[in-house]
Parts: sequence; structure tokens; C-alpha cells
Amino acid sequence: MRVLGIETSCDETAVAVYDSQHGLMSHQLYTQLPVHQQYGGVVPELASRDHIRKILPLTRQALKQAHSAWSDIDGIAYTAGPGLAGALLVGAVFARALGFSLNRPTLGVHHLEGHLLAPFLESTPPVPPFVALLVSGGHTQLFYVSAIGHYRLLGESLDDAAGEAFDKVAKMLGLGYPGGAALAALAEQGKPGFFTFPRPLIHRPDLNFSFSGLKTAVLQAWKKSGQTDQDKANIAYAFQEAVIDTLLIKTEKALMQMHSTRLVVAGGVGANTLLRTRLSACLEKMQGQVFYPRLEFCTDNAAMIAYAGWHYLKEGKQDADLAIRVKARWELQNG
Amino acid sequence: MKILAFDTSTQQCSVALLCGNEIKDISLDAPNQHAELLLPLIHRLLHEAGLSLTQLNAIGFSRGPGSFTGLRIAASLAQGLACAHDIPVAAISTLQMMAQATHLTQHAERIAVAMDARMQQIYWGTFAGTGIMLPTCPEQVLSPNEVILAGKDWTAVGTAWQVYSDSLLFLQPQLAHIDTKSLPQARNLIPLAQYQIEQKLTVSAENALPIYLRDKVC
Ligand SMILES: Nc1ncnc2c1ncn2[C@@H]1O[C@H](COP(=O)(O)OP(=O)(O)OP(=O)(O)O)[C@@H](O)[C@H]1O
Ligand SMILES: [Mg+2]
Repeated sequence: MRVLGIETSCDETAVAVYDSQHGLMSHQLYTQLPVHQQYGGVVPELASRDHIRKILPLTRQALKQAHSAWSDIDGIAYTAGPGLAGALLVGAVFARALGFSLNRPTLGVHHLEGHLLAPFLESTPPVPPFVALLVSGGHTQLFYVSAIGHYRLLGESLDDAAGEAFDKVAKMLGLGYPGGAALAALAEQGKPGFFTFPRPLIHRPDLNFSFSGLKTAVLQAWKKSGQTDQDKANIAYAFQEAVIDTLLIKTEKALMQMHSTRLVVAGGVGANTLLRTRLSACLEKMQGQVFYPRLEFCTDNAAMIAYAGWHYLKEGKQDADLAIRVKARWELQNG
Repeated sequence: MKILAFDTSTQQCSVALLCGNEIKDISLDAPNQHAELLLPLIHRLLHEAGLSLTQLNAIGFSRGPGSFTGLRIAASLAQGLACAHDIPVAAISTLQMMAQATHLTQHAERIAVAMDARMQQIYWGTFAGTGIMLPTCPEQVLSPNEVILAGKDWTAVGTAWQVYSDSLLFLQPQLAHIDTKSLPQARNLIPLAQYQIEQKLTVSAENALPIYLRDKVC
């Protein structure tokens, strides 16, 4: 079965083709970053306007890259939420209309399930059950995944997501938007021993996170410092240590609680080198395994949506009726 | 001639199908339900006419101005329906469609369309002709008091004539008739889509794009 995947939940337009036999056959992505950068955040109306210009050209490119004709597509998966309602609608309406015109089944996919399943696109995919750490721009969550489709939320951020904290601190330090990766790069120039920031909630038995206090602590430290380039790097270093440490402690706790030695990491912050190094070391110590998506599939993409959709479409699951629905807010939690 | 047309530029969700000489249409008042209703309505019209999508000569949609989200719903629907079968698309002005409707029902030949654009502005377009109403000026978004209208005997169409009746009062001497009630209807897309087919003005699916008129959005 060959599935076309479509992603338009935020500020990337993406289309991919996944096939039962050939695996991932193509993936195309257009990032609107330059459009939103000047505003320091995503402007929903501009995002939607860009999606509708790009969706069909990208689809044609994805088909071409997959050496496929329209009629080779057996099913269509699209992100139905969560995300920006107007942006989601462009992808959903296009996908459903295309499915209608080709007389092929369609399925709305949960964006976060897409993220969680991204490591399945790699050559050694994880085997459930496992614990999953989802760390993105909008989410910081720990799940227990007993099987694909069965996600039990173990804990989550009570305020800012880890990626959001990275971005806010980066903005504070003048590193632009979204500055998570730039902040991580700067942290490499930083030295230990100058600043320390709190590890929120780590002594609590639950698996929740809180990152909003961290940015206030960072702001105060920055104001009190000499504000040299080295100070900036040292602060970046200490901030990254605090976030990664917190993620590590809670993830370890989750693995112990669930008696699991398999971990899946997904979402944009999953591209962070320090996070990967620490988690890999942790799992090695437990004689367990950790699974990551390739770097480009940590952030939003359609390959993960095509894969997630394929998983259900091949079992005959599809949109129940012709009504097109998107869900800007949508919990991923079903046992 | 077989043409499918839909309009979601206002609160109304409107779908029409031309099959031979007959137009079948459905219009529902459906704020925020356009995406839910469109495909079921289209399926129903096609099914009742015993038509499949591939038999269509063109797909028409109202490309704006109007509700931004509504315009994108119609445009992405047109793209998705048209792309795989290379069905020509007629992207039609909402203002022109309203002018066309008034022309057909009231035989007016000079029509000034003004739709409420919120934020103290209107979407403005003037049309004239016999048979097919064609624009006599570029469509604009502007303040009611910025409107410039030459000549007399205009028929005024659109909600803005009521919403901004005070600010538009200065145009009164140039108006022959005012209709503030009418909303865009998909059936009025059909003659304009036919005209686009005849004049080879239809576009391919990737150019089925909204025209918002208001481009400053943040
Ligand atoms: N190397 C890195 N270190 C830390 N953070 C990073 C790194 N690379 C990317 N990020 C962060 O990842 C986030 C983007 O991830 P992603 O695209 O998965 O999020 P999103 O799609 O916006 O959110 P969601 O999927 O929750 O709606 C940004 O906050 C970005 O700063
Ligand atoms: Mg994402």
C-alpha cells in the first residue's frame, strides 16, 4: 500500500510518500521560517496563506520523487490536529478533496502520534512496549506506548514546553527566533562553574515538568552578569544543562516506573546533541536501547504523517464520513 | 456543459452543479461548518445527477474577497478535486458573482458591489455589461469615504451599503436601486465559469488561489 502524507499544522508545508514495500519513497518540505522570523513567532494568517500556495506544488514534487502517478496512491493521510486551525484546514481540505477525486481512503492523523512514530522510519525501528519522550516546541510529554496506537500519558509540562523554553531564552539572549538550535550551539562555548539554574520538580515523585520559572532565573542571571559574550555562552551552557538534566531525571524515573529499558525520543528538541548523548549513556547503563528519528525528522515533516497514516490505513481504518474536521486542540491519550 | 461550483466566502455554504441546461444547487446558512458540509453536498449533487468528477468541464469557486478561512477552504477544495484529473478551474471574484446575480434578477447593467470587510473598510468593485458582468475598475479594500464612483444609475449591491449606509450616503444621487440583502450564491458562479471557459481564462489547479484584497494582516 502506498500512502501520501500531508502536514500543514504549523509553519512547515510538507508532503511525503510511504510504501509498504519500498518504505519512505519521498519527502518534500517547505519551511516558512523566513516569513515569521521578522515577527518573532508564527503569524497564523500568514502561515495559512503560505500553505495554500505550496501544498499542490509540493505534492507534485513528492509524487515525482517517488516516481509515482496519482493513481499509484492507495491512501492519503493528513495532520488533523493539534495545531493552527486555519493551517490545518488547508492540508485537511486538500487531502480530503484529493481522496474524493481519486476515490481513495483518507485518514486524519494526530500530529504528535506522527512525531512519536518518526523513529519507525529508521533502519532499526523500536519495538513496543517502550517509553517515549516527546520534546517539541509545543509539548514536553512522557508516554508509555504498549503498542502503536496505545499511548498512556505518564507526565507532561505544567507550563512551557522544553523547546519553548529554549526559544524564549534564546530570544532573551538575542539569538533570534526560533533560537533553540543556536542556543545549543552557543552552549558548547560555555564553561561550567559560573552559573547554575534550578531543576524544577525533580524531587517530586510524579513525571511532570515545569520550565517557565527557568527563564526568569536566566533573565536575572543575565542582568546581573557583565553581559560579555563569554557570560552569554556560560548562561547558555548552564541553561541547557538544567533542561537536559531535568529531562534525563524524569525520563529515567519513567523507565524505572514502567520497568522498561526501551526509549523513543521525538520532537524538535530531540535533535539536541547533549540530550542524545546523555540519554544514550543512561540507556547504555541500563543495557537498554534508545531510538531517535534522523535529525530532519525530529521537527515537523510529512514522512511521519505518511507513516502513521499508513499504519492505520493498511488495516482498513479511514475517515468515517465526508465531513472534513480538524482539531486545533487534541489530546493524545488512549490507554 | 458540466460545471461544479461552490462558494464559502461568507457564512453561507453554497454548492451548485450545472448539468446540460439545468442548475441544481444547495445553499445553507452554516457559520464555521463549511469544511464539514462541502464534500457531502458535492457528493449529493453529483450522485443525483449521475455524474462523476472526471466528466466535469470545469470547477468554479469564489476566490474572494471574503472570509479568509472560507476562501482557503474553497481554494484547497478546488485544488484537491481538480489536480489529479487536470480539470480546469474557474477562479471567480465574489464581487463579480454578486453583480452577475443582480444582473440576472434585476436586469441592472451598472452594478456597484460593496461587502463589509470589517475594520471600518469595505471590499469594493464596479461591474457593467450585458449578459456577463465585467469589472470596470480593479477590486479594492478601502474605507467607505474613499470610494470613487463616476456616472449615474448604479445598482448598489452588498451588505456594506447597509452597514456603512451613513458613510456611503454621499453616493446616493448616483444610485438607482439598493439591494443590501443579497449574499453570494454558487449558482451565480456558473455563467461566469462558462464565460471563463469560452474565453480560455480558466487556470490549472495550482492557480486556484484566494484573492484576499486585504494583504496587511499583522
Ligand atoms: N538542537 C536543539 N536544541 C534544543 N532545541 C532545539 C534544537 N533544535 C530544535 N530545537 C527546538 O525544537 C523546537 C521545534 O520542534 P518541533 O518542530 O518538533 O516543534 P513544533 O512542531 O513547533 O511543536 P509541536 O509539534 O509540539 O506542535 C523549537 O522550539 C526549537 O527551538
Ligand atoms: Mg511538531
